[in-house]
Amino acid sequence: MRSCAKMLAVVVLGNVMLQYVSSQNAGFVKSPMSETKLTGDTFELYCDVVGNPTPEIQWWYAEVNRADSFKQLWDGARKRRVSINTAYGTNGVSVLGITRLTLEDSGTYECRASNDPRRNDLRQNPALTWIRAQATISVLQKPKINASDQEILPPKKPQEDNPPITLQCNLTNSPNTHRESFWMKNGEEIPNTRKGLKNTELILSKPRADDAGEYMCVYTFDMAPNANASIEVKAAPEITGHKRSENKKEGENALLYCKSVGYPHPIWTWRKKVSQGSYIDVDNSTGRFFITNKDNYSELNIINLDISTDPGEYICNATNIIGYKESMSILRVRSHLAPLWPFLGVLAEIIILVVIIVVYEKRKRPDEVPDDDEPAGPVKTNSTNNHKDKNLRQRNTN
Amino acid sequence: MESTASGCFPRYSWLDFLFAVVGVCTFLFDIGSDVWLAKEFYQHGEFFWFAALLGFMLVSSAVVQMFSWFWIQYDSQLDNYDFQTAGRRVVLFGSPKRVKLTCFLHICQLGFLLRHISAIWLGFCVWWRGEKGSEYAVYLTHDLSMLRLIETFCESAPQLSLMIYIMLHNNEARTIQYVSMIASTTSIAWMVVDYHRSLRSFLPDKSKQGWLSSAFYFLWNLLLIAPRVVTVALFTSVLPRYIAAHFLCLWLAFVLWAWLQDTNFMDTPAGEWLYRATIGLIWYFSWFNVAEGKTRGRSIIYHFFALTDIGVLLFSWWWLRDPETTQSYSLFILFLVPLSYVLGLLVKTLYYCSCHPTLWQPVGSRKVPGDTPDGAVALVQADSSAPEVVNKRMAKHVSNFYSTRTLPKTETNG
Repeated sequence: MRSCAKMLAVVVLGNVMLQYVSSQNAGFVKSPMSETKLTGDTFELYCDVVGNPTPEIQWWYAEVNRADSFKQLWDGARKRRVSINTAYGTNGVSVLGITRLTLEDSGTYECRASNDPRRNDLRQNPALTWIRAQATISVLQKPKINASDQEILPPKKPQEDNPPITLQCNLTNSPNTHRESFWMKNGEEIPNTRKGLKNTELILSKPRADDAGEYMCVYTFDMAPNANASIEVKAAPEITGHKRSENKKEGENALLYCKSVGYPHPIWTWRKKVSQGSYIDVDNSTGRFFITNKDNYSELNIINLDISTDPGEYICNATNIIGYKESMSILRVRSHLAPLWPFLGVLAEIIILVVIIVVYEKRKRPDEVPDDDEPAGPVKTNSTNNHKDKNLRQRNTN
Repeated sequence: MESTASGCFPRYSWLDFLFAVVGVCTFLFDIGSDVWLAKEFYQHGEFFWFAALLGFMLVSSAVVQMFSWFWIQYDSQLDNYDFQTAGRRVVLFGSPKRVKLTCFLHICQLGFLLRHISAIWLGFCVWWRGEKGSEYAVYLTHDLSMLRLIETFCESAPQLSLMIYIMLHNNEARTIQYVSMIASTTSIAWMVVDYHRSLRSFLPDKSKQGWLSSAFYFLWNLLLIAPRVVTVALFTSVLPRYIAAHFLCLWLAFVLWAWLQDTNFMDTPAGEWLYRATIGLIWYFSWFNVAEGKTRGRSIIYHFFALTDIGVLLFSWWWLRDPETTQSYSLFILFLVPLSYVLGLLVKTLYYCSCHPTLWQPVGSRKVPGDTPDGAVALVQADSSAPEVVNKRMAKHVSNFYSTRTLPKTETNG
């Protein structure tokens, strides 16, 4: 009896422990989330499962209201619009992506995982061996926005303003009621443009080069994501900031820069003037020239200035598809000895001054000796001031 | 009491009181704007200029306090000093009983302000309430004028140069910098007017000068000091480190000259050397007669040298400047500065030829033009019977300023 009980206990314990140690049922760490998208957009669903051994992941799809008929998705399905990337490590992670959505892509997407060794056995009910997580994707018709064409600003004539430019967006074919619309320039919202109109326009009065950029009209919806259309306003670059001249001593570092406005962002080149024709600054054979370009800003750094080759006129050139602009900076290099001349001048004048004053003062001495010999006392006693002497110090003491 | 025509001191009048009040106002305005500006520099992280500004203020304050302290010491040894302090509410300082307090106040850099307050308080008592002590009030005013002169040249003139340099360096200026420049300019202008008034107060009535002489004095000083200040600033803007060497060399040469001229202003050797050092600093910006007798030669030497120095500094600035950033004003300055200096010299010459009282006839004594310094002072004291206190320091300067320029041979015994 006792040995039977003991054996039973061992078997049960072993079974439990065996299951615990050797296998673990699959479980979801991260499930796919439902989304609403517009036609033409892209979406991705994530699925993360844990289990021992690492579970296998599959993606299944059922059309809307057809929850009974799921079909499996594979990488490259739907004319290569579907992509499935799966990685099996300690966890199993899978990403389902569908591009260029159409209205027919709406439906329920299911992430299925299982590490059961009998999962693919046709005699098994998959509902028992696979775990599932679902997400609903709704694809809405993207509203059609009629946007005006791109504008190109003419070069600004001096003393005249450019004629105003109007950018227009019309919202047509929108199944959803829209809430409001606003404008953005280069990714940032333009203040005071929020309105609740279907047809919205943005007027640029007296447009200048810094008004150029990528403008977007954005429509917001109650139950759908924002829709936008972009209009480009292009202009030739205008150079707004540059250093007209730079004076440095030899061996120091010089910095020349140019800033511009205009769209699209220009390509920068730096050149150095040699007589009447220009000369490309490829002089980095000495390794002392460094050019840094950032969108509308360009910098030319010269280290360890050389007084014989570096001084001169440098031209920065900004070119984009519409036009180009140049501006010039002068670089001067002062030699180490330059301050010497004024200093010698000052020294010379001081020496001359000292000589003159010594000569002058010494020359006056002999003339004054007779005065000094005269006793100071008698002169004063002739006046009525004698009794006031105590109030008055002698000033002719030598 | 203007009993005799030979000019006892004029009474302390409302004008003196007004000058004292305005003087202290300009002084406080100057100090206030400088402190504010220093704080601004500190907040903007411009520590070097903060240090320079503070340095000027502290050095000038220390020098002025030292002079004030020396003079208190000397005055306490004058015989009729007790007469002054016997007046009831005469002084807030200087009485022998309060030496320690006065010394402490001077160390705290408050001595100058204390003198101002004393002068105003005493002046108020004398003028408004008609109390006695008019001579002492005038005495205080003269000392104040001297101290103001020293303080202005030690602080306001270098600060003005510094402000102009900073403005040139940055090519723009904040409002507080403009305010500070105006404060410094006002301070210098005020000092000139005040000092000349003190000088004139020593003159006898007969050769009393009108406002014309003050105007001339003011004009030529303006025309001579402004180019120096501006040139120093311009030179600093191209060669910042060399201005210190320039100043040092010139200052040493001037101290040497003061020593060779054998000045005898203070009563102790230490004071005398302090005086010579200060004179060297003053001469960096403006000429100042410190020796008696014929000073025309010295004046000519100085002005010629100053003109050459301006030429050298301007030339260095022109050669080493940045033509583009200074384009708007460089030509204008190149011509204006030397022209202004030459014009100032012309006005000065005109003044000395026409307005200057070259002949002082001491009452009843010699025929020889009162050329000796003693004579000038004797003039002022000649007929008063009451022991009057003459500010001998101011008197010395007066005689240096107003002494004649006649031939040296007439100095001998008359």
